[in-house]
Amino acid sequence: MPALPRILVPASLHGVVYRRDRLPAHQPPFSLYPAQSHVDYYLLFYCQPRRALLLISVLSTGALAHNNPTLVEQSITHIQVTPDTTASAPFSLHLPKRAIQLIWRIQGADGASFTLQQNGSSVATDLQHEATTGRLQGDGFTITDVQAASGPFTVEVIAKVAQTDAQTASSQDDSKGLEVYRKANCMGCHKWHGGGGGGYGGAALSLRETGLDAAAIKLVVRCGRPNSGMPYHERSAYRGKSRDCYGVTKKELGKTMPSRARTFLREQQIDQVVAYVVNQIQGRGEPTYEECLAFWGKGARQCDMMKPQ
Amino acid sequence: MQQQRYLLLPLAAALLASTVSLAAETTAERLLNASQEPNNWLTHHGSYDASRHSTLDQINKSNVGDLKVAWTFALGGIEGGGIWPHGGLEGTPIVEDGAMYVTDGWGSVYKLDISSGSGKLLWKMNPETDKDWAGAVACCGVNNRGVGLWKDKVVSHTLDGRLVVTNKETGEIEWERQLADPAIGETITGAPLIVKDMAITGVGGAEYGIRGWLAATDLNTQEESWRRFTIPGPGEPGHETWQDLHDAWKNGGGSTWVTGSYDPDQDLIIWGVGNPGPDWDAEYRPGDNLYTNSAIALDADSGTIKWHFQYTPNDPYDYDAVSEHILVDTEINGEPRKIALHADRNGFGYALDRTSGQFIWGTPFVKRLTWTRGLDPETGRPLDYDPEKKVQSYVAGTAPSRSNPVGVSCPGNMGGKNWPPTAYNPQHNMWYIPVIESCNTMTNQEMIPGESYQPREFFTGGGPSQHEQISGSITAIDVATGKVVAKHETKYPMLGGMLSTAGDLVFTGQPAGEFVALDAKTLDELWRFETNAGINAPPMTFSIDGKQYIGLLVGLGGAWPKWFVDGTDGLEKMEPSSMLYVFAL
Repeated sequence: MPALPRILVPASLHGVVYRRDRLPAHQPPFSLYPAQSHVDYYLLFYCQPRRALLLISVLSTGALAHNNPTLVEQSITHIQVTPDTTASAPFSLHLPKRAIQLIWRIQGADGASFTLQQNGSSVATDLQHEATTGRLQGDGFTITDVQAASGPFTVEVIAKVAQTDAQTASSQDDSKGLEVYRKANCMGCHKWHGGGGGGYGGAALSLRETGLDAAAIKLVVRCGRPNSGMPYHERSAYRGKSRDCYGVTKKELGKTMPSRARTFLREQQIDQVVAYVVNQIQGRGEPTYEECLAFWGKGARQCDMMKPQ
Repeated sequence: MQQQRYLLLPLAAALLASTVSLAAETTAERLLNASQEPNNWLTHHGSYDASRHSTLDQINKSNVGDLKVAWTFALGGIEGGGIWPHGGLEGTPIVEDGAMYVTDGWGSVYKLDISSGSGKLLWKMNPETDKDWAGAVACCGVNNRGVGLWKDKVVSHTLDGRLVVTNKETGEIEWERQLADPAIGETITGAPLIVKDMAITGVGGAEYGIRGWLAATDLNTQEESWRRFTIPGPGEPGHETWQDLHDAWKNGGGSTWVTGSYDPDQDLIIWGVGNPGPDWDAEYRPGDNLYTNSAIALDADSGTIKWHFQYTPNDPYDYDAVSEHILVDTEINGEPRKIALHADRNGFGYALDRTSGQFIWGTPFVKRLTWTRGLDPETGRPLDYDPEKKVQSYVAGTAPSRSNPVGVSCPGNMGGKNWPPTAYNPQHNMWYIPVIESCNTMTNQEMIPGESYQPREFFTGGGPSQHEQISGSITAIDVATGKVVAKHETKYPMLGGMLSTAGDLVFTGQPAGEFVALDAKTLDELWRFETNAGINAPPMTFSIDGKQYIGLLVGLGGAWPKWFVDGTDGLEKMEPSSMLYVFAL
């Protein structure tokens, strides 16, 4: 886990969780970060709001994987490397949906290491067998600066893919998730339809429009969102000196520590509610009459106004 | 003072039988003279002047240390609905001749026989509130603040917008009428104010883009006598204070969810009006936005607005003025004045001349007040109000706006002082305010005409957040001078409300469960009882066969547990409950 850099960024971004590949490009401070290829998620939050000083926590995929036992490996590509050439042939990385981490596996050269470049710039150095990086993707990658290899070898790039319940969930599983959604009172802020929006609790994230993947949603449900109304739902989150949440401790979060949920959820329940969000809410357009009845039950008066004319 | 206002003291007061079977009808005359029946608590604020002061003095400064629980009663209504995980209790019990009427958050009415030293359920009227329908558009909890009495009927409200009239003896619903429409975000949480043969009803929903109103229902004909919108429409006086070009007035807010007061001498109903909507996007609604954040005085028979006073014009903070106005006859600078006292969410306590709405004095009752430098001593307008501007920004940095979306202001958006009622002690001429000592952060979100407003969806133009811990106090103001004369600081904000008694005592409950009696002059704590459950309701007092009791509903409710609890470390541990406590010596 890298040290937590302190940096000034606009106040409007406090408490926002960004996925590495979706950082807003127009924010100059973030130009610091693409080089840190082992970082996958950024959580931005106020340290001292009145001074607009933000603490940026960087979350490695390792920390994410730690509490996510449902990651599966998927081979992306193989790259042939010859040590006496200056660089490998350029290659592209196309990642499957929900890939959260890359593993670099060297076959045929024990103890070798290399540098990874993209379009001539180093994006990761000293990569050894089984090294991990974040979600690097795109074109123009090359392997250079090979060390301790006596002959040609192969690098297999493997994506760790979040095999969430969402992908395998049946409709029955989602009904469990709906139960959790109600029990934990998610609709209290995100509304029954997940659209969130402004209100007395501040602006709750739109689960319909969010770009967060299942792993990130799970993280936010487990750990809450510092300096916002989103509470943490995992009983052991932030316990003692634990850095399982965003790589920070309760003490480091100080006043920005998220509040405790009124209802703690077991991991299975968290997976169920995440699956419900991903399957039944995320990516949907405007809420429909059918969705409303599915949530509230047949005959619910609050759905009448959505009834197709 | 105000006792002298009524020359026709009812001889019956002392003679009224205190048994249920011999209960007299609740006549208009009895309601007019409610303070002459201190054994009863006949109307929401105790009396039409809303003073919440009782002349009972059996429990007093010298013996309050011996106050104990006499009996308790567990209500239902704790279940959730809509966006709310549980119901809460914010009501004031009503007592009449040995019977008590209390409500739970979902509007069930419980009639208890309290004539023999206990509370036995006589009947429960369950109005079958549509919980999800209403609970999904209740901004601030599953609440019902109590009933009104009229003749042989109990008059109550439901969160889903109905006025329900129940037979006192049988508990049977005789008739009901839909007044508010949850389809457009309207709900009812306040207790009805019974004036003559009318029930006056206020509405909630300014966070959902309603256009607020007060409605008078004729309890004889079961028809509406009048309905007065708090946001004037085209052609009505005050409409010119909505200066946008997209009909912002139609969703302009101006809720009326706290029961008002009634001045029989002038035949005026005096009621506080809530915040404009959208709350934090004042640029959506340029102009002063009458009658939001105002006191309005309405002719009781017609609902015509006779005068108004606006506390926070073009409010960008959610500083509503929905709270009660206490009607006091007193001397100010040696002159007898008929005044109305109001503790506003904006942090100032005000005295207005209630014959004209003219400003008399205004005093900050909070420790920190940053949004304006003070009030104009002549007009009572905030010093940082700029009449040249259509959109007010007040002190720089305090108001969220489209160009500077984050504002930090003290008091925070919940006040100052929220709905929990104040009390006034005429012996000491002191006024007691349950205070939220707070600052918070408010963030603007631009609302788009024609797009952003959706029925039953929040229409707030942003939202608040807490950047620091929030505490509270009970603050006393000397009404003659308008000066703060005592402050009793509390760890948590005051969310319950006040009771003043002639025993030289002030009673109030705290959100972590402490129910306390304070010295009426010094505010020193004289007694406490730990309920260990959230207190969100005001205490009241009554007597049975000459024995004085203090009643209090205890049940975590209101907006705090959901929206503001991150500003009060420790309160997240409070569990919902639904209990009535009654104390006696």
